[in-house]
Amino acid sequence: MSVVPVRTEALSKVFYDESRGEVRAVDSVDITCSPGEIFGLLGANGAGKTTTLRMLSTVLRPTSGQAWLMGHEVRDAPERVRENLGFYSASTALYPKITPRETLRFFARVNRYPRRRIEARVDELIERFSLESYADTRVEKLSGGMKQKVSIARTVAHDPPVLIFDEPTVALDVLNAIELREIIARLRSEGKAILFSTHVMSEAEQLCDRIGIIHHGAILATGTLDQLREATGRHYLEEVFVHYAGMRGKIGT
Amino acid sequence: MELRQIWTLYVHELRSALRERSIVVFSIIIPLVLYPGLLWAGLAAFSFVEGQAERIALEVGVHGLPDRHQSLLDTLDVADRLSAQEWVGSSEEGREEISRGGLDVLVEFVPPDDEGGALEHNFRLRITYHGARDRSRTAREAVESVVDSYREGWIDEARQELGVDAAVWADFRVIQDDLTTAEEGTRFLLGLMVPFLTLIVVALATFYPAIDATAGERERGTWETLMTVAAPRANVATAKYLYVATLGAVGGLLNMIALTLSLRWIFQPVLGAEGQDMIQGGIPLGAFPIIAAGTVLLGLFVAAGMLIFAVFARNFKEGQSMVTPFYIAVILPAIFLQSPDIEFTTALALAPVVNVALLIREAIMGSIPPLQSALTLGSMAVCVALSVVFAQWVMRREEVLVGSQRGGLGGFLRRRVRGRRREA
Amino acid sequence: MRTLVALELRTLLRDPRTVLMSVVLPVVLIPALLLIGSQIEDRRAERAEQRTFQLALVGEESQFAAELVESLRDVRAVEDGPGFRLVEIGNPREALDAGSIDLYLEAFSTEEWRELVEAEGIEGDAISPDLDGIRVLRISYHSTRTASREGAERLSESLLDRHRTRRDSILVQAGFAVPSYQVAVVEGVDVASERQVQGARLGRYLTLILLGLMVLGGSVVATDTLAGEKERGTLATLLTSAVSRTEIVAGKLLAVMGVALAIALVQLVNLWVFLGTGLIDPLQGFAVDVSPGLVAALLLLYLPVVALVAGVLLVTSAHANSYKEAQLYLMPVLLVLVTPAMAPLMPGLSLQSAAVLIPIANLSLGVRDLLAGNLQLAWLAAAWLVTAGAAAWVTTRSVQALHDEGLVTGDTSREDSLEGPELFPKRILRWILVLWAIKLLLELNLRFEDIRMGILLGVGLVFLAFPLLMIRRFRLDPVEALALRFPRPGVWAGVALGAPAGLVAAGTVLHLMDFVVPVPTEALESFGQALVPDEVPVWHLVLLFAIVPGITEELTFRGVLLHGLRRRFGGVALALVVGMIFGLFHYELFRIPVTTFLGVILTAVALLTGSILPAIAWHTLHNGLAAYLATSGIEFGGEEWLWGAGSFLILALALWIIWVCRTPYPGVGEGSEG
Repeated sequence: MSVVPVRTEALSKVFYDESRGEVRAVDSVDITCSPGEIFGLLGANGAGKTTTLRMLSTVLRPTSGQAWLMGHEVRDAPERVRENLGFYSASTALYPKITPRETLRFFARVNRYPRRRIEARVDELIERFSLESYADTRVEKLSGGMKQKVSIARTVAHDPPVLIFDEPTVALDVLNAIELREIIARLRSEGKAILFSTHVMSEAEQLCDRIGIIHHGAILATGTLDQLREATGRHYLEEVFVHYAGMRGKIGT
Repeated sequence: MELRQIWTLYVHELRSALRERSIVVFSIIIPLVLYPGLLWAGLAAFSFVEGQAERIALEVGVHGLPDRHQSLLDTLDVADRLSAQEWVGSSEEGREEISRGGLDVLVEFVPPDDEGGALEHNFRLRITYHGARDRSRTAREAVESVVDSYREGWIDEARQELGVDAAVWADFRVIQDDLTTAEEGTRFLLGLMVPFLTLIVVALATFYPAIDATAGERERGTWETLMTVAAPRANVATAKYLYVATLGAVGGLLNMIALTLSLRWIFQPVLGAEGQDMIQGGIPLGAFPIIAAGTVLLGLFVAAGMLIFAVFARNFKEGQSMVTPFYIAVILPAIFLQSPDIEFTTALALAPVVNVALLIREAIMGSIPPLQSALTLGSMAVCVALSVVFAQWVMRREEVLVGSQRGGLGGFLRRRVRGRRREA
Repeated sequence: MRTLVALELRTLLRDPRTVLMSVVLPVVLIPALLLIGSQIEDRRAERAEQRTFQLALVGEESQFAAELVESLRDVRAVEDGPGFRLVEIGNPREALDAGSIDLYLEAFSTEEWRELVEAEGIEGDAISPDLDGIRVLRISYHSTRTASREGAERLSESLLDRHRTRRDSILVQAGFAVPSYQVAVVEGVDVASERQVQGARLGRYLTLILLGLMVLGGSVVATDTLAGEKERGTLATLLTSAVSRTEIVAGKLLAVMGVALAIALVQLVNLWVFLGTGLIDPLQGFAVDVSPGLVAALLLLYLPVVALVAGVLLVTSAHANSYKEAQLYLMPVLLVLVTPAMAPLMPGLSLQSAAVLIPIANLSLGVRDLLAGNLQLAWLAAAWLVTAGAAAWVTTRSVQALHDEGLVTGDTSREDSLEGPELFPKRILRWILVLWAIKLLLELNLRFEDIRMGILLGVGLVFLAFPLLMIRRFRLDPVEALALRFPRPGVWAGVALGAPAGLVAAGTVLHLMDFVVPVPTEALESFGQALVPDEVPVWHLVLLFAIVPGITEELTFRGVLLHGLRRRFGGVALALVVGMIFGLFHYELFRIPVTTFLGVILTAVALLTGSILPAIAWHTLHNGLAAYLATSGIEFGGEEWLWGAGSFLILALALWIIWVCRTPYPGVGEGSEG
């Protein structure tokens, strides 16, 4: 039998803030993601995308609700979860003093990739992401585009079944962003379950198989782009988003 | 805990640090070049002052010298560095000249008081000097010692004239015999300085790695990368901790070696020309394992402490100001330890950091008290274990993980306590 | 500019934690430390007062000693002082070593003492009880134990006091008019006021303490203001605005100076408040004249010091690419800046000497003198100008640092990408520095019974290994790096003429330098002794004093060092720099000027001939002649002016010959600007 790679049930996160008191950053979120699928979390800044993904990557502990990655619960088996997970975000930088090859070796090793196969895996990654020409140059001397490629290679170094990309294109130029999207698409075709968060509508439109619209910590709607269009009667995702967000806003007030 | 995984993480930290040119250059250049350089500056300055002093004659003005005591003037003039001349002006003018610096001391012969006047040719000497000037004070001391021996001679002459038997008069002699050998004396001096220096260099060598491994990672953005790898947080914390402790202990040992190479020679100018004979031997070989063990213990403890403080910082600058209080708290007790009066009691053997410093001192002086050593080892092990557990606990808190907290350790603990109360 | 300074200070003040750590903490901490320190000292003194020393009496005459100690109770000094408790003990030495007694007193008759002197081989003035019937009292103690040392002092003092009283009574009974303490009474009159004496004491430490605090506090601003801005990228913003770089540096300098001055002021006030209220009393009866005039004078004197500190901190900060890097540099900078401020701690060091030429040290001496009421206006002015000059020079360096594009953009990869011979000129000074330190440590720590071994290892091996290491490490061409070329034949005549003349001229230089840097006679003597061992075969002398240093030292200094620096300086500057470095490798202060003189000439010869060979010949000849003169007992003090003047003429002639036959060193000054 096969497990669902990513599944959450009423996942919530409450922060205590000295000035604002209780803040519900994530409120009963239920999402799933299957192999070979890209699930997009679409929301404005501060909507709870990053918090949700951080809970999935076990950096944050859920206040309530549950989440499973490859059948492992995030609170009960955090290491198992991270073993099956590649996490990429604009703020996961590389170590400047080591080379790409050493970077890949380190992350494969520390993420418990079988020891005997590490060297072969590193060579394979270098070839696949065309890092040959600078595989032994220190990361600090690489250009932004090169670093980005190394960074993605780093994310998949231990060949995890689940990948999380948290606003990956935020700091990238157009060409690099395109290249990144291509790589993500390629990873989907390899059967990875991919969670992808963004606030850029066109990106979500192009890339995602299913989209969850998140606003003020709650998922307002989930479905394929067509399903969402149908449900709202709008064509452009932007309009769809404004429709939901605006509705919620009205209800709230 | 997986040892292999910790090892991977540990090697990774070390590799990054060793490739950082500034860290390597500075952990080598300071002990290798700076200490000898400063040492040389000190020796050169000392040689300069000595040479300068040899050439300066101390000017002694003599006023109202009775003919009977003419020989005193000659003795003054031939005395080391003194140049005595008849002072023809008044006392008032003499004082002014001394204030101006043209004259170092003025020696005036005045009539003795009534009691002293019973002795024929007796006199009183008034030495006018300037107490705020080295030269003048030196001159005064030199004149006084000349007068002392002149008085001795005078009285001895009188004794002979009066026919008092020399042996009866002399009665006994007092000799002080210092049983401390030069080696022991050297060890004593080293014992006062080395523990203090060990503490400072270990703390200093731990300071930057601790901040770099936490706040530095946040600043570079690699913190989050590390938090999403499949290693338990405890392993990440342990690896970081071991790395900081390694740098602290190794840096401390390197500095110690460099310092001991220069240290003996620092004493020499202090002790003067005879220093060569007084400084002999060095740290006994048997003490080195203790010093090394002490350095490692200190490194383990200080590293844990500094990490606890540094982990709350979001950038290097913040880290620095957060760790500084701990740094001061570690160094301060050592300042008061430089008193040789403090004994290594069983109570002090339980006080962390202080006990290691005292143990090193005892080892250098040549005795290793077994009970205190065991207690030191035990109490340091407990402290290290407690602080490591605490450091791991702090590092597992999610506000620390994400870096969303405000303030340092104090604020964090306050919030924890408040949070508990709210939950209850 | 005012806007810039205001911006800097505002940024600082909005960071409360930094202010707290760098400004407030020291203000609280230092008095606290003084307070605790003085209390510990008080308690120690109190304990010493009440201490009872454990004393054992030994020896056949111990009855005499016991009576004496008993009678000490009558002596005033002991009554209110500490007491001695007599302890019966079998083996006093063991008991003393174990610490169960503090000291023991042995009493000997004259005969016993003489036997003992014979048996134990006791030396020094302890030997001579020149009269029969004198007893000898020996106090044995351990100077490393406080109780033991103090007990011995007390006992000795009391015994001598007792001795004096007895002598006086014998003498007076025999008919002497007065007791000895009435003879030739000495009384001191101090023309210095209490304030001046205390001022002199405070003056020893004042600059050191203030400087330390200024560096620590100022560094926070300095590191943040350049390295920090570079890291945050705001420096680039500033550079694109309509201010000149000089203005930027000036603004930052003023901000750092402002903070440093504020710290100095706060500390001064702080010190006086705490001392004035009597809360802390480390200096008994403290009273310093705090007239506004004095404060103004102190501030004026400290102004260049503050500027220099600020400048050095800024340069340091400018050379760092990040806050962290700047912090790493700080520790050595602090040590280097603070060291000269220790000058007033050296007893006898006076401002009226060559010390006036050392920045910071000169003004710290001046402050001490000023507080001691000793105002030497001309010397103070000179000191002020020297330090101010140093500050100005350092400040221009930081302006230059901002002009260097690599520093501004934080891009140091240019240097990183250099390799081998290209990198060598950038690294040579660093390596020479390391060599200097290693050689110093070797000289201090390795003492050979036979000086020949010392020369072979300390000179021969070190100076041979260094050029070989450099050639290997940087893949240099040995012929180029060591200038292994043949000069024109005429050069040799110049060398033959010049080396002896240079030796005599060096003697004159040594004599002249004595006025500026006086040589302690002791150092000169011990150097002379160390240099020439007796009864050594002549060929050893020639080999070890002439040939080995002549070849190896030239390979290092006129070989790789000159090669590495050749593009950086023009001819004259190059000769001076290489000569100076050569001089500094001779460590003893009095040898440096002479060896620098020789080094400059040798470098000049190498530069004129484009070859190392004449320099080797000259150096070998020079050392050989010097060793010959020393062993044959011919002394040349350099006092003979005629000889001195003549030698300089011949030296000039020799250099002229070499100049005529010149084949200049390739590539000199090509990389230097101007």
